[in-house]
Amino acid sequence: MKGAAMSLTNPDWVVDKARAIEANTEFSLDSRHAQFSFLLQSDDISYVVDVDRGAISVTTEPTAANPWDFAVRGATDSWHKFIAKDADPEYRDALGMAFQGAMSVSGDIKSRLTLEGNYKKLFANLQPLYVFLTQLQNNN
Amino acid sequence: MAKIEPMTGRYVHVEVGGVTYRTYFESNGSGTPLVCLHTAGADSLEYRHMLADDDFTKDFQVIAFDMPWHGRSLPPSGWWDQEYKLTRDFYMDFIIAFSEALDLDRPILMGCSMGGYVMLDIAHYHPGKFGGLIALQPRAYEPTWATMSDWLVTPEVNPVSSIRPLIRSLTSTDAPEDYRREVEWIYSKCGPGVLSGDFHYASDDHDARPFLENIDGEAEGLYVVGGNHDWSCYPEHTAELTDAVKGVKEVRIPHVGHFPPSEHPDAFKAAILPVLADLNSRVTA
Repeated sequence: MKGAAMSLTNPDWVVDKARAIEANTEFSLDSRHAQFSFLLQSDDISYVVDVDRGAISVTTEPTAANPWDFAVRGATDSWHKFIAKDADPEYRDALGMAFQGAMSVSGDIKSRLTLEGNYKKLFANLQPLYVFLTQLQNNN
Repeated sequence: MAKIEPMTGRYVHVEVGGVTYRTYFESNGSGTPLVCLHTAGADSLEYRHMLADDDFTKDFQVIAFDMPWHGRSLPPSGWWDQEYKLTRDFYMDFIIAFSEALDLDRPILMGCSMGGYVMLDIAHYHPGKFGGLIALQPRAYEPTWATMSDWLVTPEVNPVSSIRPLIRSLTSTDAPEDYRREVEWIYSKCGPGVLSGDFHYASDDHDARPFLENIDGEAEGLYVVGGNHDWSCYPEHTAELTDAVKGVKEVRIPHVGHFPPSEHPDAFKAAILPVLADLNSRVTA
């Protein structure tokens, strides 16, 4: 999917993209022993992504019955620029968007994404998470 | 005969604070000595491209060394009983002691990331000691790194799984993929607690903001060089330095991230050769 459909506001795109990422060789290698769940949020639209030893499942319109370990939250505009590989360097990388300035949940004005929740789980699974987020930019 | 690269690796015994550090360094070339400092948690392998490049080595004796605890420079005895924390004073003292151990006459210093930060500290605390100071990806103050330090030594977290994405995120998506991955690999073999220990200097012990205005950038031959795709060193960050330090010169490199010499050697070479030529003309004048 390309163009306007290529967005976290489009649940079909997210589910299709997760399926493609599951087949990605680097993600498969890095997640083969990983078990974690994260909330993927674009403004008021969110998903719970479960990773279980290489397998990905996506819950659209999650409720309190869908627990997660940590959250990756961003404004729709930030996600759009990231996925579209905007020319502005400040949007080229997911961790860069979160780490600019002090990395915190306090909403540093330079942060384009926020990472919050169980930090131990987040850092333990940062590599497969990073591959997942980076592959959102892959239009193939 | 197979291709053999021209740099040679040796060990020099460097004494700091009554402790002798068996220190690995690689060198190649002749002319003005150019001492290269690696980034936090890495080693001299970051400078392998420069060390094998005639365009550098025809005018410079390029030298890159591994700080203790890094690469092939072992930590001192007792490392298992004490937390490694790099301090500003030890870092500066070691760089100076290394240069003296090799009998180098006012070498040009070049360092990346924390190796760039220390250029500001050396310019302030040891003015006139070196023939020029090239700070790659410098910051007057950068507290972000230390926010990760504890997680890199938490038993439930495999540090490599945290370090790899951090390093990759700092490289440019426009840099050659193999070289981006090479930096990722260099960092993957970092010793236990070493990156966190380096972050102690980079985020806690280094804060040049109080003395930036006292540095004479012209007298020190101080350059600040920033890759535009490094989220820790955007133009606003080097502007903080050029606004405060008189006589400092700035170079920005497009399409390059936090590790210019290793992630994008061609773009780095194009940007840095004029800088080296300028400093060499000062040294040899």
